[in-house]
Amino acid sequence: MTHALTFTDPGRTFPVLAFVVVFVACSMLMSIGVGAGEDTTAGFYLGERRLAPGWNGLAMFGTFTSAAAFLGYPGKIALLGYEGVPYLLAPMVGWVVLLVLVAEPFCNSGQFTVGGLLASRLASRPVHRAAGIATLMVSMPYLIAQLVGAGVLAAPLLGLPDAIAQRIVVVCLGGLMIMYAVFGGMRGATLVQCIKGILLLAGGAYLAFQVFQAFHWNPNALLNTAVNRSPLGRDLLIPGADMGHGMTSKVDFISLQMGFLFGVAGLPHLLMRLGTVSTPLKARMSVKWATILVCACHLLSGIIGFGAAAVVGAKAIEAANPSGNSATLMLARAGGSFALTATTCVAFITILAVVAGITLTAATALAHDIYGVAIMRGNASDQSELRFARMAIFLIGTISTVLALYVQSKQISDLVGLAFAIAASAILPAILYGLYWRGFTTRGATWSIYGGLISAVLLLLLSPAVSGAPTALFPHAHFTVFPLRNPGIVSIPVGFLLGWLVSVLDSQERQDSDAYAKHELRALAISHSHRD
Amino acid sequence: MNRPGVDQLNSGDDPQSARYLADAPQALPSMDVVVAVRRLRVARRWMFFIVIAVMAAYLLIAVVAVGARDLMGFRVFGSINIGIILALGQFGAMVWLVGRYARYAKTSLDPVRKQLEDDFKWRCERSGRVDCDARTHIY
Repeated sequence: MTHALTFTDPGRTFPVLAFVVVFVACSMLMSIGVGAGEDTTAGFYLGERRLAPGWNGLAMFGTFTSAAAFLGYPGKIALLGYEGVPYLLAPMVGWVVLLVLVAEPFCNSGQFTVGGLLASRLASRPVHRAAGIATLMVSMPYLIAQLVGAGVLAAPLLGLPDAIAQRIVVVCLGGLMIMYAVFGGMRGATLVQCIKGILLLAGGAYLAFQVFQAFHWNPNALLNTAVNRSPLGRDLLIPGADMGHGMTSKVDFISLQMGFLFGVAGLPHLLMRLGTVSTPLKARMSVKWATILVCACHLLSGIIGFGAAAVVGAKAIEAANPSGNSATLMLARAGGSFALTATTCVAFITILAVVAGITLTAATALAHDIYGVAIMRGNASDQSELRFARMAIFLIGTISTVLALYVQSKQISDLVGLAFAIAASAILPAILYGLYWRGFTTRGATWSIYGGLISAVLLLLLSPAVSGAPTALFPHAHFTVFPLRNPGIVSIPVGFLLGWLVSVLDSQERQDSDAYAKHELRALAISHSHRD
Repeated sequence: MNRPGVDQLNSGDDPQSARYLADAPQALPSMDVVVAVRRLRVARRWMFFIVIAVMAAYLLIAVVAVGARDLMGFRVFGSINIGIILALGQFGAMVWLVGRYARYAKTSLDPVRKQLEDDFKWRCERSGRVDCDARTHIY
């Protein structure tokens, strides 16, 4: 599909483009090959639960590490220095919640969606509907942010940093994403995520190696050069170089980190991957490996960020892209055309793997939670749900591609933060209460999910990220009420508080102690041994 | 589908568990089920404590970072300041914590869970059911 674009500046860009096309075609064929014949929902959503934990860990890492971690955050570090570091630290530390509290009982529930987990002890239809909507609300901004991030690749891929070239890349990627998810299902997504995980680590390690070699393995020399070449000077290595002295921006930054910190364990596309292994022991091992890989990858991203500041320089990076998204690619270009080609491929498959996983998760929420349970009351046949799931992938893929084209030129750096904030305020409270709290009721669950969701979205709409500020989505409108750009610091407590308060006040629903007793016993005596 | 004792056992109160044991002495497994359940409950409380402690420590460092810039910018070795050391320390602490938790769960929790599960399976089979699979036999 991209081969038609090879006329443009063939001298320099042809090798990159040809490489990417061959690469994508190969992984596509493989993914269709492994996914062929998926004609049951269990096969399509979960790959029959046959995956080994090491591979699942790699695939979880592949689903999680987005374009932001490879392109966006190194760019932030290159431009803002230490202020970009928490973007790498907070999502990494957030994995603790998933590892210690969520992974094993979630896998043990035998479910693969948030709605399914809650419905194992609460009223099925309302919680499926609420959780399905929340999953879609997390997935869409995440998906759009990834597709917009793909536009950054347009420059090295096509040789023209042009709005049209960016659109072409976004549309191609959207089409690829739909095809991967429709034909490959979970097994196809797993394959592309594993390949991506290996390539991303290898590519990141190669770039970090080049950086260190350029500075003779002396981190001090690296940091000194970065400081000398940055307009910030010494402030590059001090937190808050860019945020001024106001209280608002400081609270805002903490709020952003809270969203990342609590959002990881609520991301539906990670939770769905917990369903692809057969036992909780394997789920724990998956998350363990995924966490270690995330640590390694984020460390490499940090090195790449400071390396780009030292080798390329903040001025050149900012000139190419004001948000710094091209820093990694510019660093790679400094290492020669092979490095640039390889890095472009890695970045492309990074985005493709993430969007394939998220599209599949969003389609599952739509087909299984909302259509299968909430609308058809569980009466939909396997075949019709599967057909609906494939249609849902097409629908979600098309809508997100169109929206990504629409916001292409806008400032979208808050979208990933918004997805994490919604996951943290709408999904995580319901999961933790659902797994661990005896007194949780159906009404508490729906209030917690809708309350967290609405407060996060509403606060964002009323924030300077949407109106009033020059960088806002609508710079000329003024309906800013909430001073922070990140809603997490308010909406996460709202989600937890509503879930608790409504459950406690819920006098109508008799708490089913028998259902909870079974549930708790299952969670305690997690099955480890009999299925290996 | 009678599940003798399981519901009482799970109620959380030791008197009830004791009553269950008195009611069905012949169902006593090799390991004391009540002790096993209690140990797993204590372990779970610890897991919550650890997660909350990690989150609190992270947020504390984050607040200090935006509040006390001079402290974070204090240079220890060349350009390497306290902020960078803390960030690297968080990477190291994270890897350590993950490995430590995995080992703890493997050596301390899994054997207890396995014994508990074997007991449920045994109890299930004794009640005459044939589908005593790991995922279903608790029901």
